[in-house]
Amino acid sequence: MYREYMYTTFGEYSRMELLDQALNQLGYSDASSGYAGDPDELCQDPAYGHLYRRAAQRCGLQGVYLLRRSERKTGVPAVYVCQAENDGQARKIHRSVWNQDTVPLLIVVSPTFIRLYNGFDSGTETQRGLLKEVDQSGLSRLNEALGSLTARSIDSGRVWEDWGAVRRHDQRLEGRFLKNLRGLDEVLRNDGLDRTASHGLIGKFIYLRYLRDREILSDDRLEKWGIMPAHVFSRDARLTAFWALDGRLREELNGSIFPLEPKRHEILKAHLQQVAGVFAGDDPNGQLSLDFELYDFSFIPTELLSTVYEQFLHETAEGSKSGAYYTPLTLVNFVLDELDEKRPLEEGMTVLDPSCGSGAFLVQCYRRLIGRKRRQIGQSLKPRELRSLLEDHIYGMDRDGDACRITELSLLLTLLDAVETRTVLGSGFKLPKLCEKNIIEADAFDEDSEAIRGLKDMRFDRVVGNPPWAKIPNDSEEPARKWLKQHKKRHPVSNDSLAEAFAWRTHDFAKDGAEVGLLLPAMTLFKHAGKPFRQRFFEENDVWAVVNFSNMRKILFPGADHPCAAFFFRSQATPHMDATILTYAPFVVNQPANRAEKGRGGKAAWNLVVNASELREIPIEEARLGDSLVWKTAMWGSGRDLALLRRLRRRFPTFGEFSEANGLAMHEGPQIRHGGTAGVVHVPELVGKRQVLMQVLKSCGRLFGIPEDALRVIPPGECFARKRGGLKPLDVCRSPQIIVDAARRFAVFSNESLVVPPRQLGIAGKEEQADLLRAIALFLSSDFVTYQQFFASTEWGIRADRATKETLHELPIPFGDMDSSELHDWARLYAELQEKARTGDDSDTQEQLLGEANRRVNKALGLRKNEIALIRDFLVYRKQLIEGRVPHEATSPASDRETQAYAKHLRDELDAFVADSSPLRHAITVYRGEENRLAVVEIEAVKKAGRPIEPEIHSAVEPLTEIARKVQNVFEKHHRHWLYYERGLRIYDRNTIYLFKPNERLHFLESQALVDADDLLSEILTARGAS
Amino acid sequence: MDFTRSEGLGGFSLAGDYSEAFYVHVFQMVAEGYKRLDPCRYSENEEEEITGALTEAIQEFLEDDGSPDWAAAYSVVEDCPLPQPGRMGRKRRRLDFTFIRSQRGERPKFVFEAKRLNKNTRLAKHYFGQDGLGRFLSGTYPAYNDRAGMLGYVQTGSEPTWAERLSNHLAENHDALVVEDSPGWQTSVVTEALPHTYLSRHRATASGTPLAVYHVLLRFY
Repeated sequence: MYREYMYTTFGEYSRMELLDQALNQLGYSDASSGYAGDPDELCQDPAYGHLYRRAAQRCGLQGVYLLRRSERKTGVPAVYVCQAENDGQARKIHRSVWNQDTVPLLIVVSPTFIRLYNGFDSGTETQRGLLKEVDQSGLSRLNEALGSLTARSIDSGRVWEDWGAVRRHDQRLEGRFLKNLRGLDEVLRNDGLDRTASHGLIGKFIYLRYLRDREILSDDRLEKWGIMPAHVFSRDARLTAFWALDGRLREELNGSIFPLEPKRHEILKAHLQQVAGVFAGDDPNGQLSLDFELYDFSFIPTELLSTVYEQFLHETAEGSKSGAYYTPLTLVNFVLDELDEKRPLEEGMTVLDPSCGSGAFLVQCYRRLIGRKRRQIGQSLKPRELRSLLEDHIYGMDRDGDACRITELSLLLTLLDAVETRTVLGSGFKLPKLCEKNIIEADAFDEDSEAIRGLKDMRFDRVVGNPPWAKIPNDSEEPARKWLKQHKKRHPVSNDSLAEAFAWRTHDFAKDGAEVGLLLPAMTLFKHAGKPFRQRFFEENDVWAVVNFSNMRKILFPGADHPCAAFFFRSQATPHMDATILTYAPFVVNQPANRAEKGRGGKAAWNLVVNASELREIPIEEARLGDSLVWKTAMWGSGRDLALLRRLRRRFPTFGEFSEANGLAMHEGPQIRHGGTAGVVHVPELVGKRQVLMQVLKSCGRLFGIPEDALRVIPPGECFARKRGGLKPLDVCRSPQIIVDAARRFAVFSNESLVVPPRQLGIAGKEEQADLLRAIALFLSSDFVTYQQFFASTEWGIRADRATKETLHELPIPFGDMDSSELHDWARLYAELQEKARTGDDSDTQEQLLGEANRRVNKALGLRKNEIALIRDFLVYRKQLIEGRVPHEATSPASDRETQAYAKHLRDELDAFVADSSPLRHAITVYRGEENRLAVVEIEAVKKAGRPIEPEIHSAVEPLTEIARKVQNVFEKHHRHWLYYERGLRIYDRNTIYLFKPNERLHFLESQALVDADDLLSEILTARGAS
Repeated sequence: MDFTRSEGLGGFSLAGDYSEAFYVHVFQMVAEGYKRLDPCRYSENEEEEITGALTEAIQEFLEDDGSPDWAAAYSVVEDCPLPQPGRMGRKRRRLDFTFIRSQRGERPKFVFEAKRLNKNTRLAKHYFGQDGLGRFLSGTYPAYNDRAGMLGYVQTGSEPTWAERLSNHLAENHDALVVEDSPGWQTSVVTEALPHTYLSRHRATASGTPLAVYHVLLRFY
């Protein structure tokens, strides 16, 4: 601890006075702030306690500003406050904190300055990483100098407007360490080492550097063993010294950590010097810029080493083939927190990760076991106790031997983390051998493996992991293929998904009723083919939560294509008869500490905040139907959308049925090929025809005609089509036809026979059906169709922005009862739109015509006023949030008119609900802050029959001041971080409800008023004793 | 995630008005569905057939362009299966009618068990027994907010006659059916469109919690 500095005086203030002064100025001393100033208490935190402990021991950590939902919950560290003696110490602290890769902002208080550092930027160049400095003379105005660092700014999210850029992924340790491992591996592989030897040597050096940085391998110790430190830890490394140290460590601690013996003859002095030099800070070839001199392995969290190594493995051939991918630490902690909420992991409970990769989940489980045991006994654990906690509780398996070895290393480093330096060597203590005992190199589906059978017999209390998402190889000898063949009836798996097979396989390892937390592809919830899996899976397991991270894909897994979802269930257990599945799809727009300053995301997430306003509950019976619409509306809409879409599905025939009844052809466009390639056939019909060029239309919006520059005559050498695709697609390339864009941006009627591009859809009919096709094109150009297709599509809004032929087949179409004159009217309107689009002027009239088209469609479908608002708001605002975008229109404040419209909708919904049974009326008052952050909607229920009460809007006020008198205590005690955790917080007080929400347009849409009304009614109607 | 509503509604004093509105909607939906049927066509039909027809009619009302705005937020589920240990797929017990307010968050529900009332009906077994009201008493079927409903499809005799028989049976089997003394069986018209609606109050045998059961008699001949 830094206690020795506490009472040293310097200048005007003692150090503690200085710190107190700074904390006061920033508002951190206020009891209601999120500042936790007791390092001892911080060290108890299950997820971050070990990091706080190390920072308290070696960085002068005095406290942490935490974002947290309640006092008893683990908080997300936002700011470290540390004390330093001088400039050099401050820099050192910054470097150490950067090595932890945990907290974005660091305040260092010294006798002569107060500095703000970027905790995610190492600061290798001059001043880098230093964001602001205030000297002692500025102390009294610290709140001005570091204005956005005050408690109030952090609580209101303003801090991220000023300092949001600190989250850049490329400066963080995680990204840089990975880049460095890649560089080093490349050098070693180019120098002739194979994958295993290269990984082994790098892994061994991580281990050695850890021991060295922890001072376990101190100069004294090495000297005692007759080893010169420079002969191992510098460019002058020598094989004799290296092997001597390796032998000593095997003898003293453990023989199994990255055993290099089998590769001994391959590792040459040059390789060793390369690695040792790089770990000492050298540049291996003068071209790579490696950062190893920045690393302090005693600070880098073991679990982080583990996840980085997992990415590193993935990038080599083995990893990519097996579909392994790394799991961000925030996600690992999220999964374990959720499982701990159900039942805390404690001594006596065994844990298995059936596809452990480099052990990120297992390390964190072990860490939690250690923390709980320490709290239970009130003191540090002895090495043998740590050893038995590990050996008796933590198990994993993986096909990749390198992954198993890094898992073993990570677990052992975690054990060493908890041991005092002086007791590691020379006390007779040995690290356990985990490989082949706890960590098994095997395929989880291999029924012939004795080790696997042994693990099956153990029946675990908890199963966790991120199984590979590849397809099961089409090889009859593959264990997973054999398993699938035997079990596919009872345990259906879609599209040979290995991840789904793993989800079933947990049954063979888990005790009945054991808690399981798995990361699976989010498409498991949505894909058509996955229906049998979903039906059966939700039938056979007690699933209590599903968290869909699709919208956060780009910030959780920068560079990854496939979104993930976390599934939490009790294996082979029956839920309560009225059970619901809690589901949650966090949107980047609702993550104030993660969202980018402008537009699309792009920063890596440094935390994951569960926001109550995004929680949904899906009845287990709904989930068991296997319908993906339930999950799609849970993510992108509300129960209102689900009800609307289902109602229309029941009420009208589908487009598939309609087109069949009317003899229309519908198909994707043909796959045109060059002649002379295998498997193609010449198609004379294509000669002289024009084809639509989709790349020209890449950024187009609504179209009513294909622009000339997006058409080209197919060259004679390309008038060939794939035999395998058949010639059916040509049916839709004859006029009259409609060309429907896969992203449903346009549906263009054409009288010229155009060749429909691949993946886009064509609809074609007979000559006399031209009017019908025009009417259909008008319908397909409506807002409703885009809305419906978005929700009906399995991929749109999840992975790729497109809908398929099957999605169009399901579209309800209201043409059944229309007579020919009505259809003719629709066709005429479409023709008018085409004409306006062709001439390219008078966009107002075109807008009016489009508005008329939407009105006709809405009327034909019998849509109500509220349902039209749902569709409009979805298309204008919510759909823009796709792929984690944060559009300015969504986050800027609503206008007075919009706020008034919101308030009226909310009032009307609530008034209408009670209209038949009570004289209750709702008086709505909206208080909107001057700055773009907080708004409070006050809903007063008044027993007063008569006309509806006109809403009041109070802008440019301090809403909390207005409301504070009434609910201040409740708010400040329990909901300080409402912005992060409860962006739709509601407080009930006698006959008034206060709805706290961000002062952003997205939260004041008319459709949001319906959702808010539903939420309020749900809460009131289902509250205990409400009747 | 532990976002349970642990704070409850604090001192919110008007919750009862909203609950009342919910129950009124439920009974209005039953009335609207019934109004759309020709009761004479169902004098010989089985309970499942009548329930099916009534559900379709209620659904029609909910989807009607002219129905009130509140209707859009409701759905009615027929034969809603219950998850139960040891029972899977078709073997699961099913609720006759469940009215659900379709929205996010916890969904308010109201469950009806339907029974025919005709000359073959043995009240003790069919209406009040383990496959009737007994399901609510034993907790086999959930009673949301301690309220549930019985729909009596009257195929012979008049509604008042059946009401009297039901009332008498309750009085005679006071202990077995755990009937609350006061006020006992009473007329309780929630909506004018369902004039033959009665209320009996019980204690659930499994949980000991109060249970209010609405009995709605609908003529089908």
